[in-house]
Amino acid sequence: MTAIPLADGLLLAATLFVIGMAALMARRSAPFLVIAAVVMLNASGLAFVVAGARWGQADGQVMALFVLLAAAAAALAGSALARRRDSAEERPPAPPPARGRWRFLRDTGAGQVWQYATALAAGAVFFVVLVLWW
Amino acid sequence: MVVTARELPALLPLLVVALTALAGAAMAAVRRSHTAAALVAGAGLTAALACIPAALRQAPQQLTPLLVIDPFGLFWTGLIIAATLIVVVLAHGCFARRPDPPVLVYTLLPAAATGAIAIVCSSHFASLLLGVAVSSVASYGLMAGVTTRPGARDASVKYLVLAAASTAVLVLGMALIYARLGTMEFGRMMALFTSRADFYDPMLLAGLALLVAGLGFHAAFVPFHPWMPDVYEAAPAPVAAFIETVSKSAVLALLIRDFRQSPTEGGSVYLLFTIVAVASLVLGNLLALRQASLERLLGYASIAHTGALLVAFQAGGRAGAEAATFYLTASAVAMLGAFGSVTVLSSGDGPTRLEDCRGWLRRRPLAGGVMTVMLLSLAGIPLTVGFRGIWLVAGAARSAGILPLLMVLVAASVVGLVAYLRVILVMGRRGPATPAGAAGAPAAGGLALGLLTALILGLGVWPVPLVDAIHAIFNGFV
Repeated sequence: MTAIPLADGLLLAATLFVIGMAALMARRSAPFLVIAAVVMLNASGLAFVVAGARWGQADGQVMALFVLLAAAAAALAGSALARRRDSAEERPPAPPPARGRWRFLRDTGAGQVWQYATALAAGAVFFVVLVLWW
Repeated sequence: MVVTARELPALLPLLVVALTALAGAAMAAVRRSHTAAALVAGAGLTAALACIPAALRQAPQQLTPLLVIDPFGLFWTGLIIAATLIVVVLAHGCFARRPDPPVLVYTLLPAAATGAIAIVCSSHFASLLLGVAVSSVASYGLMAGVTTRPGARDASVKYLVLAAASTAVLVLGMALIYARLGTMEFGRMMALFTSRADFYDPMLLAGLALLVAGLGFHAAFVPFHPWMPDVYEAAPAPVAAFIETVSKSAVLALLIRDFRQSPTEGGSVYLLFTIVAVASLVLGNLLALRQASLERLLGYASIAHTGALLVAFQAGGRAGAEAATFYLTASAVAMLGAFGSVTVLSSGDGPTRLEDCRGWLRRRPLAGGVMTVMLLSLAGIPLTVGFRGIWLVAGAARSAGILPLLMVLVAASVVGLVAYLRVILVMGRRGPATPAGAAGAPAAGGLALGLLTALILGLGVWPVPLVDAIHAIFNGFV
């Protein structure tokens, strides 16, 4: 049995991770958001398995098991939440949309998950690019 | 690799907190009594607090590759347990008003505290990951299980999905670092880093950036902050107090411990933290100024405080780390007190709008006074511990010669001052005649708030004990 090259394995993990991140930004419904987060978690676990295989240690697989546990807990809590519905009167009134050039400083109220996920992704990409480029 | 009986006392605080969570779960299966559950949690946490001196006698100690029990870790362990204890007291007062009070809270709070202690004491990626996972999973439960406010479900989903996604970012960063270095122990990683000062490796640096980004979600510095005000607005005040003082402080304490000695000076990670510090300070304070709800305001205040903490962090060296520790302690106490007085003062079935604060100082002079003291401390007014904190941070920044950051810190603090004073002014105004808030503070909650106020004022006037304690803690480091 030949070993899988490190670069190939990491590329696969990164691809899965990006798919999960994209789903987090594109989807709106709670169950899909939870699935997207779980895909991201498992992609990271896969990266750990690949890294452990490179060093010939079992540590990477142990970490992958921990990640699986975290993903399972997130999926469980998420599906419990997704089944709960806010009744109409419980739903908060939508805040008025902010206008004007400085609207990002306005913060009229809660945003959507995709906006925050975009901030998370953009922040992470910004961090990586800055650190590598400098 | 096995923990012997002789080493057990060092591990006792963590074990007792974990056992408290289990005892709470077992009790909930037998008898669902709100007060009894709170009493069990309170007794367990007090016992854990009592174990700390015994653990301190054995510190510093490396227990398996996973955990390091040193004075710094035990200082934060003590603070985490004490904060959880106060949150238990506040939560009991807050939820007792409900017809069907949630018993689960008193299991989830010690469980999340266990995770936070594991984060603070971790010396290995595995224990860090377990700590982050345990504390965030327990926090999902806290958010989702006990919130009845409008929009609570949205906020819970938001918190859960983003926390899971950021854990994934964190794990990917860990995996990249592990793939490059072949070790997951912080000590050996640092040795590998410092042995090659000109370490430039794309995979390693990308891993480091992702690691910081993943931790940044829990610490809520700027690009990863937007969940925080939403969650604070939708969560009951005790839960918000817990997330603020325990989950956030644990991650920041970990950053103080592990990036203290890394060779970041002038490097790209240094630049990264500078940008993050400035952005957190500016955005946090400016947006705090514009909030119409008290909880959102406190959320943005928390983001701004993280920015100020990162200034101390950038100052680097021992002075910077000590200033950061003092500042984090001071802001955690003040935030706990602020959310605590919100628990006592607000009616509790919705976010507290600023107009709702009208007349608090006249109607409820004691609780309103506590809130005022906490806000003054957050603003950094002299005679409060917040002032001493910002003074130490500014001193560290000045002696490190990072004047631009110091100027940003001062300017942002002035803006923040206006935001907090605005709340105090509204509280002093004449309010509605009929008290809309809850009846009176429960005795235990009042006692906890009094203790926090005494801490803020006492350490503000005479901060030497805390400064000396922190100094002694850092003597324990190499």
